[in-house]
Amino acid sequence: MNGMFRQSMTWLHTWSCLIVCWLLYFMFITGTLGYFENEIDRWMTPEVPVAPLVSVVDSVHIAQAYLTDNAGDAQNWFIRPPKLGDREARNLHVFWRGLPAAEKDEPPTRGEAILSVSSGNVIENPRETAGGRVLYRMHYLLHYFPNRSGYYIMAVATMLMFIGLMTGVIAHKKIFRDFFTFRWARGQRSWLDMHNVLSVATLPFQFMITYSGLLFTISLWMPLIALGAYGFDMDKIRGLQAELTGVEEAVRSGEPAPLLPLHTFVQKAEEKLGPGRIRGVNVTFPGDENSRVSVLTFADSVGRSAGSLIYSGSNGELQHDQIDAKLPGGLQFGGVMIALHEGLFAGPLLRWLYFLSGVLGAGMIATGAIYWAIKRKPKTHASDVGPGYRFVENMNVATIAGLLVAVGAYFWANRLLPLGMNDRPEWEVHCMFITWGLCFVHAIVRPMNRAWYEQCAAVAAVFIGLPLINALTTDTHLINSLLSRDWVMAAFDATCLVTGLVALWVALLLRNRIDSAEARVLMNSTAAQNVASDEVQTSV
Amino acid sequence: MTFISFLLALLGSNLLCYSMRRHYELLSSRTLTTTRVYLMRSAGYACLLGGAAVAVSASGMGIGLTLFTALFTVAMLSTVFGCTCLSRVR
Repeated sequence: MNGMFRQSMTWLHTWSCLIVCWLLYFMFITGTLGYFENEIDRWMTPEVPVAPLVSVVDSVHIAQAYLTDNAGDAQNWFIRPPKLGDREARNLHVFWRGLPAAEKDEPPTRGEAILSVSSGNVIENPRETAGGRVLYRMHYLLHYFPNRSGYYIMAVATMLMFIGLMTGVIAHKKIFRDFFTFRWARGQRSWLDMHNVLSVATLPFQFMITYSGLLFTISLWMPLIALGAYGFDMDKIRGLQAELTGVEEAVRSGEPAPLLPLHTFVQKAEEKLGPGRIRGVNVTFPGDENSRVSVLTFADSVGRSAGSLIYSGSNGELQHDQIDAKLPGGLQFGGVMIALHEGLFAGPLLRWLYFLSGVLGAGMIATGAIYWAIKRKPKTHASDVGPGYRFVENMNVATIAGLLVAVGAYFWANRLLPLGMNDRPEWEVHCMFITWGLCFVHAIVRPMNRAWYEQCAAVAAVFIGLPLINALTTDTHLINSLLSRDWVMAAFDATCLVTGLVALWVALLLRNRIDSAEARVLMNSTAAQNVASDEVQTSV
Repeated sequence: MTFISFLLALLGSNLLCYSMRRHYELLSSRTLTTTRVYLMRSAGYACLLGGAAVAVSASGMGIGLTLFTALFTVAMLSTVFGCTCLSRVR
């Protein structure tokens, strides 16, 4: 029974993971890059100067003046003050969203600007870019898919990953005995060892990231709970969050009333929370009697997630304190898991460790997919390969190596596309996916060993070339960044260089293997020819 | 404090690794007694607990434990690949 159970779990582990492994790899790579979303944004907008550090009070004061003049009748403002050396961007950003249009087909207008903290004027960004944010959002929206479909696909993949993790732990008979076992250069055995080591070493991270990923999509998985409680009344279902948190949605009264100076709310919040904890200010219906000002805070620990203090914008009264509020146990648990997933509380070191864990997770998926293919590789003739096997091998090359080439192409596009180009941000993304598509074609048309080698060499070329192309097209090259102690730009270039060098090492290993395989084939054919000629001479 | 926590994680994972007969014999060419296995394992777990305690005392329970888990991952992988390299050198 025990053996049967384990076998069943092994089967489930293999197939539940195989069918989504390429999608999971994509989600891991793009999601992992999301931990450095703002740093990537910064690298992709090298012309935007870094703001000198000013207080949140001053930033908010400047932002309010700008927004009142330029988006006074908006439904919503969001002000993100600059913050040094942390997850947040180092410039004063303002975003606004207009009131919904009278005709439902028209989406509300949106706008954003980067403001100078010294003059209050807009800082022009000549290099429009999709930035790190779009790259990060791909891991749950899948970019070209309509939002809802992207969520569903991602939710199914996450559930299969969770099943894969559970069954993987059960299927592995000696998981703790083989905790530290990696046997180098043993073919199939080494790939399994590598898969096991990467899985076991990062198991807490994998469980946390997958389980919390499922929590993001809980309403997709368990819609009947809300329906059971509220029936099919969609307005009530939409109000579920409000009922859970006790914060009702703001309603516009239509009566004009001046918005109090926003910096006074920030001062009040800082008096309560201490300095350095304000993440941003959100204003709903500015200029209306029912205007609402939410002062958003950083999560300073895993248990204490990001919360907000909500004030009336017209009279300054504190309406809700979401920081000290006692939430139901389920919400608190969900908050902790989501905080762990996003890692917003993490300082630079912990963020690098998150990044590393994400890369190792992608490695775990990649080694599992490669192991599947190697285990089923025909021992005799390459012509014995079936279409299913060939499909998996093509997908492995084009996803594991090809996606990295595509991500590199995304950064190249940022530097090479003309600055004034229409839809430039969208074209950056198109460049990424066109490159990825070419990698698929390449994997199909080339022999498998060659395809691996060539795509790894392409990863090396793309990433080693990135600091060079950066040096050729901007002033912010690696040496300049190091001299001016601009660690964000320097770290980006250095990370690209390291990635490229690792890919180069892998490509050289593959090249040696191809050379020795070809030499073996040549020796065998020469030996066969010699034997044949000996036989001819003997018979003569 | 983070560095001390990492050192303890590294020491702990090395002790746990070498407390396994296969690895110990491969690397030292000597047999491992049962008493020594228990001693090394106890010391290894003590180091890991110590590392976690250092991280928690420095960064608080939530961040400390998250940080230590990540540090342990790095330490463990360093041990595995270090062990592999050493055995190949020998």
